[in-house]
Amino acid sequence: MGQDDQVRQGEAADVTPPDSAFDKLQSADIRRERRILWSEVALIAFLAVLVAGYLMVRWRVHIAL
Amino acid sequence: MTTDILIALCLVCVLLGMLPTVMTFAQFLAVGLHGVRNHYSKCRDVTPRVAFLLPAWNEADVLGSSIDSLMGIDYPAGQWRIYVVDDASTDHTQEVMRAKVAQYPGSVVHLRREKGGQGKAHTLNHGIRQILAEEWAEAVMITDADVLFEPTTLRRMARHLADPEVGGVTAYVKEGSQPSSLLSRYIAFEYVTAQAAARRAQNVMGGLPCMAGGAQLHSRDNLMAIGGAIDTSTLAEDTFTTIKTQLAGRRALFDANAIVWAEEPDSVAALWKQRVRWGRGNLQITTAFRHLWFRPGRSALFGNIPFGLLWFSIAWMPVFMILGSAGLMGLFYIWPSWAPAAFAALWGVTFISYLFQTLFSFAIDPAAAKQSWFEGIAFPGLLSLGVMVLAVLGLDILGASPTWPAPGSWTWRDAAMLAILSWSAISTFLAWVVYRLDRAGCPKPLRNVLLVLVGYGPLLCAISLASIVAQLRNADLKWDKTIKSGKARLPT
Repeated sequence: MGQDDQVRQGEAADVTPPDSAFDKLQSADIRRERRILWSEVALIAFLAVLVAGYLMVRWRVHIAL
Repeated sequence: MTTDILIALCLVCVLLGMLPTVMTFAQFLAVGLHGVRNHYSKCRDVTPRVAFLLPAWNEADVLGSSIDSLMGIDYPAGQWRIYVVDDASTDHTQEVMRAKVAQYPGSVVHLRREKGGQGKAHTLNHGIRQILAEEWAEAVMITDADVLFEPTTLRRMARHLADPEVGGVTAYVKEGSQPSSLLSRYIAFEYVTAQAAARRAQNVMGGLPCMAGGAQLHSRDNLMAIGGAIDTSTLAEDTFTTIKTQLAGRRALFDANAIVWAEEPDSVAALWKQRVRWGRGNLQITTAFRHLWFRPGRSALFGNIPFGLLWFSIAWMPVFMILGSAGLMGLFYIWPSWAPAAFAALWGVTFISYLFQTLFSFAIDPAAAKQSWFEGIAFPGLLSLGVMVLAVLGLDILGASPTWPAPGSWTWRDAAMLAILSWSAISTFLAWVVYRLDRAGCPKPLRNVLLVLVGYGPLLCAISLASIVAQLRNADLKWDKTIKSGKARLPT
């Protein structure tokens, strides 16, 4: 893509309405990536609780023995 | 003193056995960061002129629907063309192409090689030479004859080329066989982990080791910068091209929201053949770029230590797994009271990693999870899941003695203990047995039961081991094409 295309991109950016198909595509994809990020945060929290609970139970069993 | 050295060696082996799990777990932890560290802010609504390049050898069954799907994409009219390089096909590819050229005049080009069979890279180069000789194309999409593009896939990929630093973009290749089978659903789940997850993490890390050969969009400048041709010396031409792109100073990106659908093998034997080719290709890449690994000064991406560890732990995974098993067995023999603790550490980490990767994969691609949730759960094999549960509960529930039994005094519990400690190695061997049974014509229902018990993960491990052995033996390098029957469909 050469200089002409860059000029064309600049012009397109000026005239493209904010609710263009491209913008919708972009925002849907960005939203999906954010959703994945929050899923990971929730999952890590869940697993951390699970592992901590497991280690506590093991520790208590160990002390009891 | 000798015993201390042996114990240290065994512990090192156990730690090495954990390496692939730890590295893939670490890679998975980086996936979520793609939510805040991605390339979308640099994307613009650009629609360069794109030449689709489809290498085809006896693809008459799939070519017509692929071309129809490509002609139906959402992209400005006249901004894309399809170049099919017919690699001296002997089926009715020529007739299919004549019909498609007539149906889409000016948009479909048929290039035929009269002498073919040299492999995909040679076929691609024939097309690339033709495309670059013309001034028309601003970007080239390297794909396969059976790959189906969703309507917005090209738009999603092309938007990244607005950034001149980007040389290539790849898409998320999904398994699209209809009706699906157990194996195709395993592959579908594998692609969630190996593509949708791993390649997002690689974007975060700053570069990709491989842009999928099924959908590689290159800017014209990038193709010129890497020599205007695809490397023909390895079986992993897509990986070679990706690494060269980044070494030439441009970025390679993965767009997980740009989706293409492909048909993957439906028998263990066909999968084995395909993946041995991929595995050997990766080993060739390891050798071809040996001057880069673990040398950050030579390449910020490929030379960095975590990247090197990740690359080698995957390419040589079966070796690490076998070392882990050997370490556990050695400990059991020399220092039996510590073997259960080492076992719990190795398999406990594996279990946490499995839980995290499986649940997170379901969240990453809910549509694939809906279709292949069982295959996701059974990915490591039900027997391996049992071993993980034992690691969590503790081996003492087996009731085996914590010492190496004297000759003649073995009980079934001792034998079970030994089998469990060496399970990584045993499951790899059993996966090879499943492959041999499949090759020998084992009925599909029986093969499926065995596959669910032994696991798809161990099967990949066994294939990887076969690739290493073939490469070390310097076995014949030949291009074994995967036969496609046109079962892939776009989702409705």
